[in-house]
Amino acid sequence: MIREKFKMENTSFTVNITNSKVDSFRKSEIKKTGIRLYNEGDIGVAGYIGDLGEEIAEKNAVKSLMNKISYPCESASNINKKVEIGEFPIKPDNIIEEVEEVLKELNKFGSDFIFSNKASLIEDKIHLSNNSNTKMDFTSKYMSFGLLYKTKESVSLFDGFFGFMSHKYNRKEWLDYSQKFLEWHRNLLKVKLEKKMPVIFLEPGTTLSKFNLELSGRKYSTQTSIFSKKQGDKLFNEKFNLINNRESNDNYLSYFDAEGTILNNNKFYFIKDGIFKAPSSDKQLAKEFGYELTGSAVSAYDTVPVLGRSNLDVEITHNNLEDMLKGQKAIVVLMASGGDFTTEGSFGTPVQLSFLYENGKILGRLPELQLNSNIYKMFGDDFKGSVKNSLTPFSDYNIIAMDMEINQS
Amino acid sequence: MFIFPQDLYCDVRIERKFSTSISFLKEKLENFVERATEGAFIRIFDGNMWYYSATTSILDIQKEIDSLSHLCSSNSFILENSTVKKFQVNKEKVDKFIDNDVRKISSDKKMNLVKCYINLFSLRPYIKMWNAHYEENHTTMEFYSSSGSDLTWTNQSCGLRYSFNLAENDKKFNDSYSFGANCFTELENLEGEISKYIDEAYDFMKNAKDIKPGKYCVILSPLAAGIFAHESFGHKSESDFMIGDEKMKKEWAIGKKVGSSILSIVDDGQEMGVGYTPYDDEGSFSEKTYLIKDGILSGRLHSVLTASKLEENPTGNARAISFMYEPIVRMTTTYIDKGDKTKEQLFSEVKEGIFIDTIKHGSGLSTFTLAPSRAYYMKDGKIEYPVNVAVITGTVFETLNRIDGLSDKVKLLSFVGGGCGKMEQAPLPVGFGGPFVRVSQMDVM
Repeated sequence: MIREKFKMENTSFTVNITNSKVDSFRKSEIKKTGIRLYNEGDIGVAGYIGDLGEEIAEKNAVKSLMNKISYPCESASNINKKVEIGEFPIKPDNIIEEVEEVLKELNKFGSDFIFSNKASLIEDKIHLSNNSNTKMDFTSKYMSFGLLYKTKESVSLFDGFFGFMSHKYNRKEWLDYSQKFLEWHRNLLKVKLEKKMPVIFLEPGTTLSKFNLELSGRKYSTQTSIFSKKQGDKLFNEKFNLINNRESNDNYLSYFDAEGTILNNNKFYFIKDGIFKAPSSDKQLAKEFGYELTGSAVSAYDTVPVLGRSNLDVEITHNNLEDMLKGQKAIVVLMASGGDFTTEGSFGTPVQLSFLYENGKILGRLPELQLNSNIYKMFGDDFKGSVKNSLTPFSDYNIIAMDMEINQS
Repeated sequence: MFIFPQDLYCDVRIERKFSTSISFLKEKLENFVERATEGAFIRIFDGNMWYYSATTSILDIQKEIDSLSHLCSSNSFILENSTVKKFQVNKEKVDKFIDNDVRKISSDKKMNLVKCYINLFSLRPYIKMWNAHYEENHTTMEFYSSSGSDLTWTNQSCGLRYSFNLAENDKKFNDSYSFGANCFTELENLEGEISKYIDEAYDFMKNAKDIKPGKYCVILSPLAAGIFAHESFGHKSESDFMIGDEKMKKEWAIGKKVGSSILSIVDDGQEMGVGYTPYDDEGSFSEKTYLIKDGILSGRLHSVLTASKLEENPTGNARAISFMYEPIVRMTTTYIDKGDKTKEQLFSEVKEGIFIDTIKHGSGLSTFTLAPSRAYYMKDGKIEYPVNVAVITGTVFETLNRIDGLSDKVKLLSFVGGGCGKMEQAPLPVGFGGPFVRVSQMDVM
C-alpha cells in the first residue's frame, strides 16, 4: 500500500486599509494535512488541520478505503525536488509601518481620493511525499498590495483598483506608479473610439475562462465541449499558443499538481500555433482515454485529486507592446466585471475602468464601455498577441491584446 | 473562560465544524469526505487599531491573546470608546437543529440520497456527462468578549447540486441544478422538480436562438430578482464603504428616494436557509432590515464598527467565511418584497421583452450585470422561444426606478456550491429571492 502525505501551509501578515488609514493587522498561520492511501486500485483520504491529528487521520484514511473510491493510477514515485520562490521584500514586523508610509505619500498626491483594501506578506508551502520514494516541496513568498480607490466626489463603492503581487518591491517605484495611475484616472477622455480596435487585458482571466471550461477532458470525452472532435484542427490564429503554465517563477504556483505531476519545462500546450493539441486531463482521464497528462489535477488537503482548472497563460508573441500594436491606439482594460461567454462562444462584457494607450503612453481614462466578440475571433483573426506586462510595476505576468467591437453608450 | 487583557477590548470566536462532502462523476463515487475541524479567531482593539489572529490551536487561545495584546497600546478609557460601547452583551445558547442534526444521519443514507436522483440524468441520452454533489455543514460557534458576551449558536445547511452537460447533434448546453436547505428531509422527494429542470434545459438547448442586442423590457424570475437585489443594491447597503466618506453619507442619506415606489428590499438573518445567521460573528443579534421600503432608502447593514462610526445600531451583519478571517459587513438573506400583481398579470402586460429564468452569476458596481443561463423571448404577454443572452446590464439606480411590476408571492432560495464574494472572503453562504420582477427597460447583450 502506498501512503502519501499532502500538506498545505499558509502564513500571512495582512494590513487592512479603510478610509486611507491602516485600521487593522492580522496574522494567520494555517496548516492542513491530508493522508492518502492507495490500495489495489482504490484510494482512501482523510485529513486534519493544525499540528496534531496524523494518527487519527491515518485511521480515517483506512476507513475511507472502505468506500471503494476507484483510483486505478500510479502515485508519484522516485521524485525528490524542492523549489523555493521569492522572498518577503520587507520584514513582517515592518509591514504596518511600511503601509503607513505609503499611505502618507498617497494621501498627499492623491488627496482627492479615498483608498482601501489590503497589503499582505504571504508564504505558501505545499508538500507531497510518499513511501514510493517521493518528496516534493514548494515554497513561495511574495507581497501583495492592492488598493481600491475612489474620488472623494464619487458615489460609487469604488472607482478602480491597482496593485501588484510580487516578491519584488520598492516603495519609490510603487509610489511613482500610483501617482501616474491616479493622474490617468483624473484625466477623463472624451474621445470617439473606433467601432473595432485593439483591447489590452492586463488580467486575461476573463477572456480565457471559456477555454478552462471547454478544454476539460471530461467534457471533451463526452462530446459536450465546443472543441470535441477537433483535436489537431487549426482553430485559432497561428500566433496563439495557450499553455498550462506551472512555471513557479511566473506565477508563484507550485511546480507540481495535486497528483504530483510535473510538466516538461513546467508547461503543457493546449493550443500551439493556433492548433488545438489536447484537452486537459488528470491521471484518471489519461488512463481512461489515453490523454497526455496536463498537470491539471486539483484537490483540497483531504480530498481525492480530480481534474480542475489549469493555470492558463498565453505565450509571448512580441518583444513589447509597441512591437505588437505597431502604432495603433488601444484600450487598456483595468476592470471588466460581469462579462461572460454564451455556450456557443459569443463574448460580452461591460468595462468599468479602462485607459487609452497610444505610442507607448497611457493618455487617460475612458468612460464606461462595452466589449463584444467571439472566442474564435478573439483568438483567431482578431488576436494581436501577448507581451510581458510593462504597464504595471513588479509584474511577472503576460498580458494579451485583440481587436474587439466597442460599444460606447 | 479567558483572562482578557486590561484596558483593551478583546473577543474570541471559536468555530467547530463538521462537514460532509460526497461527489459522483456519473455513477462513479469520486469523493467522500467527512471533516471535523476547529479553529479560533481572536480580536483585540486598543481604541485605535484592531489586531487579529487566526489559529487552529484551540488550546493555545490564551497564549495567542497574551501575545497579540503586546502589539496593542494600553488604553485606560477603552470602555468609553464609542465602538466598544456599541457592542451588544448577549448571553444565550441557540440551537434550532437538535432534533434534525445532520451529524446523526448515517453516511449510507446521505449516499443513497445522492444516488436516488442519478437515474434522472443517466436515462436521458442527451445528457452526456454529469456530476452529483452533496454537501452539509454543521457549525457550532462560541463567542466570548471582554464586554461580557457569552454566546453559543449552531448553524446547519445541506444541499444537492447536479451539474450536467447536454449535447444532441450540433447543439450543446451546460446547466446545473442546485438546492440548499437547513434539514436533510427537505432534500428528499425532489424527483419532479429536478425532472422539470432538466426538461427545461433540454428544450433550451434545442430551441435557443440568438438575441438581437438592445434594450428590452425584462421580467426577472425570483432567482434572477434575488441576485439582482443582492448585486445591485445589497452590496451598496454594506456600510463599511461609507466610513469616513462624506459624499457617500450625503448620497445615502436615509429617507432618500432610490427606486420605484413599489420596491422594497429586505435583509433578514433570521430567515431559514443558507443565509440563516442567528447572531453575527461579533455577537450581535441579526435583525430584519429594510434596505429600501416603498422606494425610499430605509436602512443599511452594519457591523459594530460601522454602526458606531455612522451613529446607528448594529444589525447583525458582521460575518466571516470561517475562523480564518475577521468579520466584515455582509448580507444574510436578501430579497425583494412582494407586490400586488399575479404572475400571469405581470407577464400578460409585456408587449415585447425578455424573461430571465436562471442565472450563472452576477456582479454590481454603479452598473450591474447578470449573466443568464436560460432566457426567453416574450411577445404579446407570452413566452415565445429561448434565447442566448451573454449578459444583461444597466445602471443600478435607473434600473431600480424602472421596476414597474411585482408579482404577489416571494420565493426564497438557497443553493450549495457557491456564495457571495467580497474582498478576500469567498464564498459566503447567502440566501436570496423575491417575486417575479418586471423592469421596463434593460440592456441585453
